[in-house]
Formats: sequence, C-alpha cells, structure tokens
Amino acid sequence: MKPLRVLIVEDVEDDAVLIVRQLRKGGFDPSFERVETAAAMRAAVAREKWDLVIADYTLPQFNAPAALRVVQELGIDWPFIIVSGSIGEEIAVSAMKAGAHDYMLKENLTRLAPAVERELREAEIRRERREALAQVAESEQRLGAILSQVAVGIVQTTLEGLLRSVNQRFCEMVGRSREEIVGLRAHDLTHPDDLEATTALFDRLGRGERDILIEKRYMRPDGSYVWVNSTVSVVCDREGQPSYAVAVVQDVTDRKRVEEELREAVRARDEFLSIASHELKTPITPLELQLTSVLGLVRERRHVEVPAEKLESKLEMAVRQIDRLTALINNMLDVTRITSGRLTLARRRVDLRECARAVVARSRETLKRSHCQLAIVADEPVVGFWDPIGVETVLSNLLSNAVKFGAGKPIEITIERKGGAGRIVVRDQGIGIAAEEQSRIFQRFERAVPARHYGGFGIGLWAARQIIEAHGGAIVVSSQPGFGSHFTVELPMDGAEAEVGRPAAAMGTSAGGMGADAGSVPNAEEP
Amino acid sequence: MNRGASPRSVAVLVIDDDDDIRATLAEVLQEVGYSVASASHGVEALELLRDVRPSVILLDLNMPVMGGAEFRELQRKDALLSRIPTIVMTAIDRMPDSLEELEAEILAKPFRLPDLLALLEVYLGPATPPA
Repeated sequence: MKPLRVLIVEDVEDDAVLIVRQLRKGGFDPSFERVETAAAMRAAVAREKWDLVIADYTLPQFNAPAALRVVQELGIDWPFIIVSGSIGEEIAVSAMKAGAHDYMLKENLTRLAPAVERELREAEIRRERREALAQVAESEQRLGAILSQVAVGIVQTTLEGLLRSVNQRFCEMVGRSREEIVGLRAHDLTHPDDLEATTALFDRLGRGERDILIEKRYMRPDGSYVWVNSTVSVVCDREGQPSYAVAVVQDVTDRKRVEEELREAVRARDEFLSIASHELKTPITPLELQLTSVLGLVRERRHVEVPAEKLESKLEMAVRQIDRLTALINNMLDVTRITSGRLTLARRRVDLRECARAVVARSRETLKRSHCQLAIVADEPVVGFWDPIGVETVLSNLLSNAVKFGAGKPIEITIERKGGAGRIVVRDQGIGIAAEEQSRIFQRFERAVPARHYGGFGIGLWAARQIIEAHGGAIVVSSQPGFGSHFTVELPMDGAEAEVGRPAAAMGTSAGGMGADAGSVPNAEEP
Repeated sequence: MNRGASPRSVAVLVIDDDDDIRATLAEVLQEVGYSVASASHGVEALELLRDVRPSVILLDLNMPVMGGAEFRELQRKDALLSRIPTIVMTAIDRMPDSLEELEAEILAKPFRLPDLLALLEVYLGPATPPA
C-alpha cells in the first residue's frame, strides 16, 4: 500500500469517503483532509505538503477552478484531478486548459486510481525536469559570471569566423559593446596586417585542426590596436562534427611593447658596437703603419744609418694613436656608466670660466688643425656647486661638435650668470642643424648628419644632456642650416650647496672624456 | 672638368679625413719612394685633381663634405679621372653590397704596410727608394 496524502476539495463528506475508498482499492494508503472553502484550502496547503488535490467542480462557497488557482498562485505543481457530477464537456475542457490534470465523473471512479498513479508519475517527471533546468540555469549563471570576470577575452565564433558571443573582457579589449561585436566577422575587428593570418586560421579550423595559437592585433574604433595571443579551439557536436570555435584571447600589448623596446635597445647597441668598431679601427691604421715602418727602419739600421729624429717622430705618432684609442675606450665606458644609471655627481665649487679655459687649452691642437678661431667671452667668474668633470665633459663635447661641424669658422664660448643659473653658450658658424633634426640630436647614438661622415660615437650631446639634467639644468639648441648652431646650457646654482661634500664618486674617468670624438676630430683640411 | 695645362704627376693620391692616417700614409709611401698628394674629402680631392695627376687613388669612404662613394661616382663619370685605378680603404666591418658598386679594389682598415705596398706595386711597379 503506497501512502498518499490527498487534499480533497468537497462539501459532501460521503463523496470524500467514496474517493478515499476508491484510492484504497487502487492500492494506495491515503490520508486526507477535506476542505470546502478557499480559506480552509489555503490553510491546508500552507500547513502541509500534499501529493495530490482532488476537487469537486461546484461547491456552495468554492469551486474547482478557484481551488486550482490557489495552488497555481503558490507555484505548486501537485496533480490536480477534478471529480464531479456531470458538468458538461465544455467546462471540463476549459478546466483542463486551466491546468487541471484530469477530470472524471463521480458516478464512474474506476479510472481514479490509475489516473492518480499516472499523474503522480508525471508530476515526478515534471519535478525532475524543473530541477534539471534550475541546475542548468544556475550553472549557466555561474559560468557567465566566470566568463565575465576572467582576465582573458572569450569569443565564440562560427567556423567561418562570425562572432556569436563574447565576454565582457573581450569587449573591453576591442573597445566595443557586445551588441556592436556580435554578428561581425573576426576579420572586421582585425588589424589589416593580420587579415591574412586570420583567414589562414579559419582555413585551418575548416580543415579540422583543433587547437591553434596565433598572435594578432585587433583594432579599436579609435584606430589604436591591441596585441593579443589567441588560442582557438574547435568544439564538436555529438556526432563529432566541428560545430563552432572558441577563442581564448589574451592581451599581450604590454609584452609586445617591452619586446619592441628590447629590440630597439639591441638595435641601438648593435649600431653602437658597429660605430665603436669603426672608430677603434681608425687609429689602428696609422699605429700599424708607423710601427711596421719603424720595424723596417730598425732592421735597415744594420745596413744604413737612420736618424733618431725620424724614429722618434714615428713613435710619437704611434703613441698618439694609443691616446686616441684610450680616449675612445673611456667614451664607451662613460656610455655604459650613464646608461646603467651610475651617474653620480661629485659636486664642489666650480668656476665655469676656468672650466672653459681648461677645456679650450686641452683642445688647442684640435683647434689649430680645424682653423677655427676661438673666443671665450666671460666677464666674471661664474661659480656654482657642480661636478667639475661633468661640466668639463659638457664643455668638451659642445666644443668638439662646434669644431667638427664648424666649417673652420670662428667659435665663441660665452660664460655668464643668468638669474640663479650659470649659463654656457657655445656658438659656431658651421653647417647648422635642420629644424627636424634638432630634437633628435640629444638622443643616444643619433646625429644630424647622415652616415658616419663625422666620426665619433654619436653620444656627445646625449651624454651632455644626461650630465646637465643630473644637475637639474637644461640644454637647448638653436640653429639655422648653413649659418651655424648655438647650444645654451643652464646649470642652476641654488639648492646644490647642501649636497656639497657628499661622498660621491666622480662620474668621468678621463678629463673631457665623454666627447663624441675625443680622439678623432676630423678636421677641415690641411694646406 | 677644367684642368691646368700640365698637371703634376704623383704616384698616389690619398683621400682620407683622418689627419693621422693621411700624414702616416704620405710618410710611409714617400719613404719607399712614391710621391704622394693628399686631400681630406671628396670635394678637396676633385679640386686637387685639376692640377695633380695620380697613378693610383687611395680613397676613404666616411668623410665629411663629400664621402668616398660620392667621389667615386663623380670620378667614374669623368673620362680622364675614371681611368685612375682606385683603392677604397674602409673600416666597415661587413662588406655591404654597395661596396661592390664602387667597382674598386677594397682594402680593409686597419691594413698591414706590406699588404698596401704589394697592392700598390700591382699598379705602380716597384717603388724606387729615394737616394
């Protein structure tokens, strides 16, 4: 005997007993409550969980459709069977349509037990389906939450590349709303240079490849683009046929930018090494020739007299090449030191006028060969707390550029006090610098002139700027091609005093050692 | 090119912007008996070539005002100058294709004195050391 809890909506006690008896006959062990008003029914429904409702169609204060509404309003899905006197087919049909599960006449209840059995089964099936749907809905919701939260873009496309659904992160990546994206082809969002790769990707998917990794760019509406790493997989249907594609899309723009910077750094280094090797070879040529020549002469001495002055001048020339090489190597070390952030200033009391005189004195030989007349305009000492080696390096680099590009014309160095700063102006009347090159010349390994026609590492102005900026100062250039350039440096005097006496390593190794061409100043010409 | 009536003959014209290289080459070549003229860039060399007729040109590539490649181009367009054998001296580490276009002998810097002399002898014959 199967236990059964029945709520009977019936005003006639005997009829209810009849129903119970019929159920018992059908193999159930029913317990029941009989209600005959809406209020009583609501109370019964609220109090207990019933397996089944059996309702008379018409009661003095209640009826079957109203009873049905009571359970429906509460969202309850119990089997609801109408057992009634004759009510006519039309009413019966409309009751069934309203949601009653079966209808039978009181006069013929033999169908009741089987109907109950069937309806309980169906109610069970309905309950299971409801639970399954609820589970699916819940897992979909959970999945949706995950998809919208993850830090990668997730895209579902057709095998032809039509975008079907995308998550929030993907929308953010490509800078468009979901509504804009869905319905487009992947190609529509792709950078023009990556269209071919995208077409190739879907061709491969079409040929049955499963997991494909590509790197590509998506365009944003503002014309910018995002570099992504996209892992595309094919999802198959139950028959194993490819059905659609899912791409997991990762924003790698930052990584790409770093890679690009690294490539650029490597390129700059290679360029530097190439220039350095060229520059280092130049002094070796006369060194080699002079020493070989001396060797030849010394061997000859066994047979002929060789004047000592001749040997002396050759060896002097050889030694000068070694000086040039040493200066070049120091330049390379200075670049390394500045680049690796080891630029520390050893500030002390420095007179710019004296610095300028010292640098000019050291450059006397170069100046003589260049035929440039040099004037220092300095009415008074300009004293501040700066790194003397740094300041001399700046002066030396500016002077050597003025000589190099000065076309043999006069050069003027002005030292003056300007507000709270010491000011250095180096003016030449040489080839000048085109406007578009003027911002570039302070970069490392850059120079305004094409190719390597002017020798040097192309770091002189860059190094000067690093040193000046470390002092809190600034350097600007003003130039007109064909009429020369003037470089203006300002080094603030104030605020530096506190730092005096700070135990800092001097930044330069060689005096004036950071010159772009400390050892190899190409001159204008010899008579 | 408008030249003087009787150009002075020299064995070698050195065109290089590096003072020390120019001076050293002049010195060592004169020591073995070659007469030498020198210029520090292409424009200066073209001027000099109005008065001086070298048997061989030793040409640097990277020079201000006018570099070796441009000089070579102008030289080859000139009927008389194009006949002067030219040796390009360069410290460029790799040999770019553009060097081939110069259609000249290439001598990589730094070079050994005997190698230079051997090369010059091909064009000039043995040098006659000064008395």
